[in-house]
Amino acid sequence: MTIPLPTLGVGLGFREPFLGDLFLNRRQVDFLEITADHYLDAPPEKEKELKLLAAHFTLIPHALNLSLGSAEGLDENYLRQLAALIKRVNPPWWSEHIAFTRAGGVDIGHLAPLPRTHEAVEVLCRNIAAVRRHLEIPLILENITYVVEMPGAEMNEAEFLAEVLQRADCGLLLDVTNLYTNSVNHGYDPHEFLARLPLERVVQLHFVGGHWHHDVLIDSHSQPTPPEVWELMNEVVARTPVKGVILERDEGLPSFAELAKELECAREILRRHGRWT
Amino acid sequence: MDLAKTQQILAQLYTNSGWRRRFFTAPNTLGLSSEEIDRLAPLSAQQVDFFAGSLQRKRFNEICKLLPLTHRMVGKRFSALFREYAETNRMKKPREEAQAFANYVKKHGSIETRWSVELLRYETAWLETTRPDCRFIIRGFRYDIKKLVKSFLKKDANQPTLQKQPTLALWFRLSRQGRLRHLVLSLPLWRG
Repeated sequence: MTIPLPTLGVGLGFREPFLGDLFLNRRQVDFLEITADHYLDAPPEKEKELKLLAAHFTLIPHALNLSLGSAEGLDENYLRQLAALIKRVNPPWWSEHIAFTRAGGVDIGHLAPLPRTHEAVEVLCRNIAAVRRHLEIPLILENITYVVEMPGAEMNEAEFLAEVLQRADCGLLLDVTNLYTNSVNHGYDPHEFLARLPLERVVQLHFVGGHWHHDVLIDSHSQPTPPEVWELMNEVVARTPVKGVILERDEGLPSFAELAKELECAREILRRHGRWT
Repeated sequence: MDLAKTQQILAQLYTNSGWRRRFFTAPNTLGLSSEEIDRLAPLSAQQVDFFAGSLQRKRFNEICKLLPLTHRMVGKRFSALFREYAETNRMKKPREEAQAFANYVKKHGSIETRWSVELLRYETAWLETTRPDCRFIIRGFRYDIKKLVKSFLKKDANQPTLQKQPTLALWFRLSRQGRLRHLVLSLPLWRG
């Protein structure tokens, strides 16, 4: 990615219950990430909400269901709607996941991992090229959590991620919580993993906490950020000029003051490494 | 086996419990080639079950958010009904899914009282208003639906205050992008 991107600071993944508090605490949120899918095929109330948010914050659309890893190709209708939304918002960048969410006419309903093969890299590159025919605004890609280990891997997770970013020439939305979660569930060292990533491609970070279920750490976006994730964030920010950091809280929503505390911790990490003033 | 075929099989494994059971016990009965079976044989049944369970929970949580009245009305049977529904109904967009599940509850949920049916109809009408092209909806009710909902939410869900009173509920927008307005008009008390 050669396009210079602005530094946005520390923000929040927008959820409807935050609306009132956001405007009461305007200075504590530098920018917002919106879930693009919530504004596709949506009632006029969502349109108004989008206009209101756009009038006060820089918005970064975050898509969930483009299914960039689908070997069958993209859903043209979804892509058209998504592209129209992103053009309307006109953000410095937008994001999607390295995953597939549908195949054979079945909507899986969540982000499913791809086999770590050269064919999967080719598919991602082909689909991303198709997206770029509709949209010139830079796309950055997010690493997902996974429980199911895909057979037939031709590379490890870090190599796969690096290969995709390099071949598709995309920035990385590094979800440090996802990285930590996978490292716990699949037994690897997240710091070694970071050392294998092209960190110069990191544009944005996600962070939050999850919960345990039957010895599996779940990326439920339901808990305060654990110390291990703060440590990983610190390591990444120390090594690369991250442009934006987003707290992604969805469940068990605490008071806005609690969220603001987490945002301030993240901002302090950016300041410590001279990434934010 | 190419990625497209692999993903088709994975999508079935993640979303179709019957198919998943057969894949891990008798894969030859699924019409898959021996190459396809061999390639995916190393998949962990435990991991796939775990992921499939999380998908189902996500789907269920979405439904609970979209149908709070129905959830409260059906009570403990709501999750069992959803499991039954999900066995035979593929995932849809949230609004369509909630609508389809509400229909399923109406048909299979042993909703016997008239007021329960009315609550279900009232809630699904609200769902319809979230369609981007929705300009006008009108529904007739035998009870004063506003009072029924209030009482249902306040008191014991099994014994809401029932007041037979022919009622019309309207939802409308004056323009395509206009604010959604909601009116409930009850006729004079029905003593019959």
